[in-house]
Amino acid sequence: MTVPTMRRPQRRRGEARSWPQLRLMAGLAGLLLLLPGSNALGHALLHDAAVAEAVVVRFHFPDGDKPYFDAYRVMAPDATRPFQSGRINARGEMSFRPDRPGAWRVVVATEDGHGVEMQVEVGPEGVVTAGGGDANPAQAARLTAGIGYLLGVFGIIALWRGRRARHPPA
Amino acid sequence: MHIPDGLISPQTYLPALVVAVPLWWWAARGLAHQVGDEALPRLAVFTALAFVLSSLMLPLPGGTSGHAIGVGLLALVFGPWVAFLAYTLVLILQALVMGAGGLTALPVNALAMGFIGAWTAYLLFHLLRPVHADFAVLAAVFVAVLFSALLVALVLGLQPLIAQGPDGSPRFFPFGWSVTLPAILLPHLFIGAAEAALTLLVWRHARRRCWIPSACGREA
Repeated sequence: MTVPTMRRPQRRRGEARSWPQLRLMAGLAGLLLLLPGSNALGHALLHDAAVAEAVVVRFHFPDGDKPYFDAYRVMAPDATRPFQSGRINARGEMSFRPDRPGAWRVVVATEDGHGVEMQVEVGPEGVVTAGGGDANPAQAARLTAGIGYLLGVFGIIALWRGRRARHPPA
Repeated sequence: MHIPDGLISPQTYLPALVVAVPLWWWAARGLAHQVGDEALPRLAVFTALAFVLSSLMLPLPGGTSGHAIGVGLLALVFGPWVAFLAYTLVLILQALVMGAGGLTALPVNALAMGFIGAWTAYLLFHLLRPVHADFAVLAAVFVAVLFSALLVALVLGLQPLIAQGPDGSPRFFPFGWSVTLPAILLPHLFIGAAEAALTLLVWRHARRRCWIPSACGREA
Protein backbone atom coordinates (compact mmCIF):
# COMPACT_ATOMS: atom_id res chain seq x y z
CA MET A 1 0.00 0.00 0.00
CA THR A 2 1.42 3.29 -0.87
CA VAL A 3 0.88 6.36 1.19
CA PRO A 4 -0.14 9.28 -0.87
CA THR A 5 2.13 12.26 -0.24
CA MET A 6 1.54 15.90 -0.77
CA ARG A 7 4.15 17.06 -3.24
CA ARG A 8 5.09 20.69 -3.26
CA PRO A 9 4.38 22.07 -6.66
CA GLN A 10 7.74 22.79 -8.33
CA ARG A 11 8.28 26.20 -9.68
CA ARG A 12 9.19 26.16 -13.27
CA ARG A 13 12.14 28.18 -14.54
CA GLY A 14 11.18 31.75 -15.17
CA GLU A 15 8.16 31.57 -12.92
CA ALA A 16 7.86 34.55 -10.58
CA ARG A 17 8.70 34.17 -6.84
CA SER A 18 5.92 34.50 -4.38
CA TRP A 19 5.30 37.88 -2.73
CA PRO A 20 6.44 36.90 0.79
CA GLN A 21 9.84 35.78 -0.53
CA LEU A 22 10.33 38.93 -2.50
CA ARG A 23 9.42 41.05 0.49
CA LEU A 24 11.95 39.19 2.68
CA MET A 25 14.76 39.65 0.17
CA ALA A 26 13.98 43.31 -0.30
CA GLY A 27 13.95 43.79 3.46
CA LEU A 28 17.40 42.16 3.87
CA ALA A 29 18.83 44.29 1.06
CA GLY A 30 17.46 47.41 2.72
CA LEU A 31 18.93 46.37 6.07
CA LEU A 32 22.37 45.94 4.49
CA LEU A 33 22.15 49.40 3.01
CA LEU A 34 21.24 50.87 6.37
CA LEU A 35 24.20 49.31 8.21
CA PRO A 36 27.08 51.67 8.99
CA GLY A 37 30.03 51.34 6.63
CA SER A 38 32.49 50.27 9.30
CA ASN A 39 30.44 47.25 10.20
CA ALA A 40 29.67 46.31 6.67
CA LEU A 41 33.41 46.40 5.87
CA GLY A 42 34.56 44.72 9.08
CA HIS A 43 37.78 43.24 7.63
CA ALA A 44 38.93 46.24 5.69
CA LEU A 45 41.83 48.31 7.02
CA LEU A 46 40.64 51.83 6.51
CA HIS A 47 43.07 54.67 6.43
CA ASP A 48 43.52 58.33 5.93
CA ALA A 49 46.58 60.45 5.35
CA ALA A 50 47.35 63.52 7.39
CA VAL A 51 50.18 65.99 7.61
CA ALA A 52 51.20 66.23 11.26
CA GLU A 53 54.18 67.18 13.35
CA ALA A 54 56.49 64.42 14.47
CA VAL A 55 59.85 64.00 16.13
CA VAL A 56 62.38 63.12 13.46
CA VAL A 57 65.62 61.48 14.55
CA ARG A 58 68.51 61.29 12.12
CA PHE A 59 71.29 58.75 12.56
CA HIS A 60 74.73 58.49 11.12
CA PHE A 61 78.03 56.86 11.92
CA PRO A 62 81.14 58.94 12.52
CA ASP A 63 82.39 58.22 9.00
CA GLY A 64 79.18 59.56 7.47
CA ASP A 65 77.60 56.18 6.76
CA LYS A 66 74.02 55.67 7.97
CA PRO A 67 72.27 52.72 9.59
CA TYR A 68 69.87 52.19 6.70
CA PHE A 69 66.99 49.85 7.54
CA ASP A 70 68.37 48.89 10.91
CA ALA A 71 65.83 48.10 13.60
CA TYR A 72 64.75 50.62 16.22
CA ARG A 73 62.21 50.82 18.99
CA VAL A 74 60.69 53.80 20.78
CA MET A 75 59.96 53.54 24.48
CA ALA A 76 57.48 55.97 26.02
CA PRO A 77 58.25 57.46 29.45
CA ASP A 78 58.00 54.79 32.17
CA ALA A 79 56.79 52.18 29.70
CA THR A 80 58.01 48.63 29.49
CA ARG A 81 56.50 47.83 26.11
CA PRO A 82 57.66 49.61 22.98
CA PHE A 83 55.48 52.49 21.83
CA GLN A 84 56.73 51.97 18.31
CA SER A 85 59.16 49.74 16.52
CA GLY A 86 60.38 49.53 12.98
CA ARG A 87 63.30 50.10 10.71
CA ILE A 88 65.22 53.25 9.90
CA ASN A 89 64.33 54.58 6.48
CA ALA A 90 66.43 55.03 3.36
CA ARG A 91 67.50 58.48 4.54
CA GLY A 92 68.83 57.23 7.84
CA GLU A 93 65.88 58.71 9.73
CA MET A 94 62.97 57.58 11.85
CA SER A 95 60.05 59.58 13.20
CA PHE A 96 57.44 59.19 15.88
CA ARG A 97 54.63 61.23 17.36
CA PRO A 98 54.84 61.30 21.17
CA ASP A 99 51.45 61.35 22.86
CA ARG A 100 52.63 62.63 26.23
CA PRO A 101 55.47 64.67 27.69
CA GLY A 102 58.47 63.07 29.34
CA ALA A 103 61.70 61.33 28.54
CA TRP A 104 61.26 59.15 25.45
CA ARG A 105 63.93 56.69 24.47
CA VAL A 106 64.89 55.63 20.97
CA VAL A 107 67.00 52.47 20.84
CA VAL A 108 68.72 51.42 17.63
CA ALA A 109 70.52 48.11 17.31
CA THR A 110 72.42 46.97 14.25
CA GLU A 111 72.98 43.29 13.62
CA ASP A 112 76.72 43.58 14.22
CA GLY A 113 76.25 44.96 17.70
CA HIS A 114 76.47 48.67 17.08
CA GLY A 115 73.70 50.97 18.08
CA VAL A 116 72.64 53.76 20.35
CA GLU A 117 70.15 54.52 23.06
CA MET A 118 69.17 58.16 22.87
CA GLN A 119 66.77 60.16 24.98
CA VAL A 120 64.32 62.69 23.62
CA GLU A 121 62.84 65.07 26.16
CA VAL A 122 59.34 66.03 25.09
CA GLY A 123 57.74 69.07 26.73
CA PRO A 124 54.05 69.58 27.57
CA GLU A 125 53.31 71.11 24.17
CA GLY A 126 54.95 68.24 22.36
CA VAL A 127 58.08 70.23 21.72
CA VAL A 128 61.41 68.49 21.89
CA THR A 129 63.33 70.24 24.63
CA ALA A 130 66.47 68.11 24.61
CA GLY A 131 67.87 65.18 22.74
CA GLY A 132 70.47 64.15 20.35
CA GLY A 133 74.04 63.62 20.91
CA ASP A 134 76.45 64.32 18.40
CA ALA A 135 77.81 65.90 15.37
CA ASN A 136 79.87 68.50 17.13
CA PRO A 137 82.68 68.47 17.84
CA ALA A 138 83.84 66.63 14.77
CA GLN A 139 85.32 63.16 14.85
CA ALA A 140 88.90 64.34 14.40
CA ALA A 141 88.55 66.85 17.21
CA ARG A 142 87.13 64.22 19.53
CA LEU A 143 89.91 61.82 18.60
CA THR A 144 92.50 64.46 19.36
CA ALA A 145 90.80 65.29 22.63
CA GLY A 146 90.78 61.60 23.56
CA ILE A 147 94.50 61.28 22.90
CA GLY A 148 95.06 64.40 24.95
CA TYR A 149 93.10 63.00 27.88
CA LEU A 150 95.00 59.72 27.67
CA LEU A 151 98.41 61.35 27.67
CA GLY A 152 97.22 63.62 30.45
CA VAL A 153 96.24 60.64 32.61
CA PHE A 154 99.66 59.06 32.13
CA GLY A 155 101.32 62.41 32.79
CA ILE A 156 99.49 62.64 36.10
CA ILE A 157 100.60 59.10 36.96
CA ALA A 158 104.22 60.04 36.12
CA LEU A 159 104.02 63.17 38.24
CA TRP A 160 102.54 61.22 41.12
CA ARG A 161 105.29 58.62 40.84
CA GLY A 162 107.99 61.29 40.75
CA ARG A 163 106.55 63.03 43.77
CA ARG A 164 106.33 59.76 45.62
CA ALA A 165 109.95 58.94 44.78
CA ARG A 166 111.09 62.30 46.11
CA HIS A 167 108.91 62.11 49.19
CA PRO A 168 108.48 58.43 50.05
CA PRO A 169 105.67 57.69 52.49
CA ALA A 170 106.88 57.34 56.04
CA MET B 1 82.82 46.07 18.21
CA HIS B 2 82.09 48.08 21.32
CA ILE B 3 78.72 47.20 22.77
CA PRO B 4 76.88 50.45 23.44
CA ASP B 5 74.65 51.26 26.39
CA GLY B 6 71.08 50.08 26.07
CA LEU B 7 71.77 46.90 24.12
CA ILE B 8 72.63 44.57 26.98
CA SER B 9 70.59 43.73 30.03
CA PRO B 10 71.46 44.26 33.70
CA GLN B 11 71.50 40.46 33.98
CA THR B 12 74.57 40.67 31.77
CA TYR B 13 76.47 43.79 32.79
CA LEU B 14 76.04 43.46 36.56
CA PRO B 15 77.66 40.02 36.78
CA ALA B 16 80.32 41.28 34.35
CA LEU B 17 80.98 44.18 36.71
CA VAL B 18 81.34 41.75 39.62
CA VAL B 19 83.94 39.83 37.63
CA ALA B 20 85.73 42.89 36.24
CA VAL B 21 86.22 44.91 39.44
CA PRO B 22 88.58 42.43 41.16
CA LEU B 23 90.46 41.97 37.92
CA TRP B 24 90.93 45.75 37.58
CA TRP B 25 92.06 45.90 41.19
CA TRP B 26 94.55 43.07 40.65
CA ALA B 27 95.88 44.65 37.46
CA ALA B 28 96.27 48.06 39.11
CA ARG B 29 98.06 46.49 42.05
CA GLY B 30 100.79 45.10 39.85
CA LEU B 31 101.11 48.11 37.54
CA ALA B 32 103.89 49.79 39.53
CA HIS B 33 106.06 46.66 39.37
CA GLN B 34 105.38 45.86 35.73
CA VAL B 35 105.80 49.33 34.28
CA GLY B 36 108.80 51.31 35.43
CA ASP B 37 109.26 55.05 35.15
CA GLU B 38 111.11 54.65 31.88
CA ALA B 39 108.37 52.54 30.31
CA LEU B 40 105.47 54.72 31.46
CA PRO B 41 105.66 57.28 28.60
CA ARG B 42 105.91 54.35 26.18
CA LEU B 43 102.81 52.79 27.68
CA ALA B 44 101.07 56.14 27.23
CA VAL B 45 101.96 56.21 23.55
CA PHE B 46 100.95 52.59 22.96
CA THR B 47 97.66 53.17 24.76
CA ALA B 48 97.05 56.23 22.60
CA LEU B 49 97.78 54.08 19.55
CA ALA B 50 95.22 51.51 20.72
CA PHE B 51 92.75 54.37 21.21
CA VAL B 52 93.28 55.59 17.67
CA LEU B 53 93.16 52.09 16.16
CA SER B 54 89.90 51.29 17.89
CA SER B 55 88.34 54.62 16.97
CA LEU B 56 88.97 54.70 13.24
CA MET B 57 86.35 52.95 11.15
CA LEU B 58 87.70 50.95 8.22
CA PRO B 59 85.55 50.14 5.19
CA LEU B 60 85.15 46.39 4.75
CA PRO B 61 84.04 44.18 1.86
CA GLY B 62 80.28 43.90 1.76
CA GLY B 63 79.58 47.56 2.41
CA THR B 64 80.06 47.43 6.15
CA SER B 65 82.81 48.92 8.28
CA GLY B 66 84.68 48.04 11.43
CA HIS B 67 87.61 49.02 13.57
CA ALA B 68 90.68 47.34 15.01
CA ILE B 69 90.99 46.59 18.72
CA GLY B 70 94.63 47.29 19.49
CA VAL B 71 94.87 45.32 22.70
CA GLY B 72 97.07 42.60 21.20
CA LEU B 73 100.00 44.98 20.76
CA LEU B 74 99.65 46.21 24.34
CA ALA B 75 99.61 42.63 25.60
CA LEU B 76 102.69 41.58 23.62
CA VAL B 77 104.74 44.58 24.70
CA PHE B 78 103.58 45.19 28.28
CA GLY B 79 101.91 41.94 29.34
CA PRO B 80 98.23 41.03 29.69
CA TRP B 81 97.48 42.71 33.03
CA VAL B 82 98.86 46.06 31.98
CA ALA B 83 97.12 45.70 28.62
CA PHE B 84 93.81 44.98 30.35
CA LEU B 85 94.11 48.08 32.51
CA ALA B 86 95.29 50.34 29.69
CA TYR B 87 92.54 49.12 27.41
CA THR B 88 89.93 49.78 30.07
CA LEU B 89 91.13 53.39 30.05
CA VAL B 90 90.74 53.39 26.26
CA LEU B 91 87.18 52.11 26.59
CA ILE B 92 86.28 54.72 29.21
CA LEU B 93 87.54 57.54 27.01
CA GLN B 94 85.79 56.14 23.97
CA ALA B 95 82.53 56.05 25.88
CA LEU B 96 82.93 59.57 27.25
CA VAL B 97 84.60 61.33 24.34
CA MET B 98 83.79 59.37 21.21
CA GLY B 99 80.31 58.12 22.08
CA ALA B 100 81.40 54.54 21.29
CA GLY B 101 80.56 51.85 23.80
CA GLY B 102 79.13 52.98 27.10
CA LEU B 103 79.59 53.00 30.83
CA THR B 104 77.07 50.26 31.66
CA ALA B 105 78.57 48.15 28.89
CA LEU B 106 82.12 48.90 30.06
CA PRO B 107 82.63 45.71 32.11
CA VAL B 108 81.48 43.49 29.23
CA ASN B 109 83.60 45.35 26.69
CA ALA B 110 86.59 45.39 29.02
CA LEU B 111 86.33 41.65 29.70
CA ALA B 112 85.71 40.69 26.06
CA MET B 113 88.34 42.88 24.44
CA GLY B 114 90.67 43.98 27.24
CA PHE B 115 90.93 40.78 29.25
CA ILE B 116 90.16 37.91 26.88
CA GLY B 117 91.82 39.68 23.96
CA ALA B 118 94.98 40.46 25.92
CA TRP B 119 95.34 37.03 27.52
CA THR B 120 94.61 35.19 24.27
CA ALA B 121 97.25 37.19 22.43
CA TYR B 122 99.78 36.81 25.23
CA LEU B 123 99.34 33.08 25.79
CA LEU B 124 99.18 32.16 22.14
CA PHE B 125 102.23 34.25 21.36
CA HIS B 126 104.29 32.49 24.03
CA LEU B 127 102.95 29.13 22.90
CA LEU B 128 103.88 29.66 19.25
CA ARG B 129 107.02 31.69 19.73
CA PRO B 130 109.36 28.67 19.66
CA VAL B 131 108.03 27.87 16.18
CA HIS B 132 108.53 31.32 14.68
CA ALA B 133 108.32 34.68 16.41
CA ASP B 134 106.72 36.62 13.54
CA PHE B 135 104.19 33.89 12.89
CA ALA B 136 103.43 33.80 16.62
CA VAL B 137 102.62 37.53 16.60
CA LEU B 138 100.38 37.21 13.55
CA ALA B 139 98.52 34.17 14.84
CA ALA B 140 98.21 35.50 18.39
CA VAL B 141 96.69 38.83 17.37
CA PHE B 142 94.44 37.32 14.71
CA VAL B 143 93.01 34.72 17.09
CA ALA B 144 92.72 37.30 19.89
CA VAL B 145 90.59 39.55 17.69
CA LEU B 146 88.38 36.62 16.71
CA PHE B 147 88.02 35.44 20.31
CA SER B 148 86.98 38.90 21.44
CA ALA B 149 84.53 39.17 18.55
CA LEU B 150 83.13 35.72 19.37
CA LEU B 151 82.54 36.71 22.98
CA VAL B 152 80.80 39.94 21.98
CA ALA B 153 78.62 38.03 19.49
CA LEU B 154 77.69 35.47 22.14
CA VAL B 155 76.82 38.15 24.71
CA LEU B 156 74.69 40.09 22.23
CA GLY B 157 72.95 37.00 20.88
CA LEU B 158 72.13 35.94 24.43
CA GLN B 159 70.07 39.05 25.14
CA PRO B 160 66.81 38.00 23.43
CA LEU B 161 66.88 34.81 25.51
CA ILE B 162 67.43 36.34 28.93
CA ALA B 163 65.70 39.74 28.75
CA GLN B 164 62.18 39.81 27.39
CA GLY B 165 59.20 42.08 27.83
CA PRO B 166 55.80 40.92 29.11
CA ASP B 167 54.79 39.95 25.58
CA GLY B 168 57.96 37.96 25.01
CA SER B 169 59.61 40.56 22.79
CA PRO B 170 63.31 41.27 23.41
CA ARG B 171 63.85 44.22 25.74
CA PHE B 172 67.42 44.94 24.72
CA PHE B 173 69.37 43.58 21.76
CA PRO B 174 66.83 41.90 19.45
CA PHE B 175 68.95 39.53 17.34
CA GLY B 176 69.93 35.99 18.27
CA TRP B 177 73.11 34.04 17.67
CA SER B 178 72.12 33.08 14.14
CA VAL B 179 72.46 36.77 13.27
CA THR B 180 75.18 38.02 15.61
CA LEU B 181 77.75 35.29 15.00
CA PRO B 182 78.09 35.78 11.23
CA ALA B 183 77.46 39.53 11.41
CA ILE B 184 80.30 40.08 13.88
CA LEU B 185 82.73 37.26 13.17
CA LEU B 186 82.95 37.54 9.38
CA PRO B 187 84.03 41.22 9.29
CA HIS B 188 86.52 40.50 12.04
CA LEU B 189 88.31 38.00 9.82
CA PHE B 190 89.46 41.00 7.77
CA ILE B 191 89.98 43.19 10.82
CA GLY B 192 92.01 40.49 12.57
CA ALA B 193 94.25 39.99 9.55
CA ALA B 194 94.89 43.73 9.19
CA GLU B 195 95.49 44.23 12.89
CA ALA B 196 97.85 41.26 13.00
CA ALA B 197 99.94 42.71 10.17
CA LEU B 198 100.06 46.15 11.79
CA THR B 199 100.92 44.68 15.17
CA LEU B 200 103.79 42.72 13.65
CA LEU B 201 105.29 45.93 12.22
CA VAL B 202 105.12 47.76 15.54
CA TRP B 203 106.20 44.71 17.54
CA ARG B 204 109.33 44.31 15.38
CA HIS B 205 110.15 47.96 15.98
CA ALA B 206 109.60 47.51 19.72
CA ARG B 207 111.82 44.44 19.75
CA ARG B 208 114.63 46.24 17.93
CA ARG B 209 114.48 49.01 20.47
CA CYS B 210 114.51 46.57 23.36
CA TRP B 211 111.12 47.77 24.59
CA ILE B 212 110.06 44.18 25.22
CA PRO B 213 112.12 42.90 28.14
CA SER B 214 111.70 39.19 27.41
CA ALA B 215 112.48 39.53 23.70
CA CYS B 216 115.43 41.80 24.41
CA GLY B 217 116.85 39.41 26.94
CA ARG B 218 116.55 36.50 24.58
CA GLU B 219 118.15 38.19 21.60
CA ALA B 220 120.72 40.32 23.37
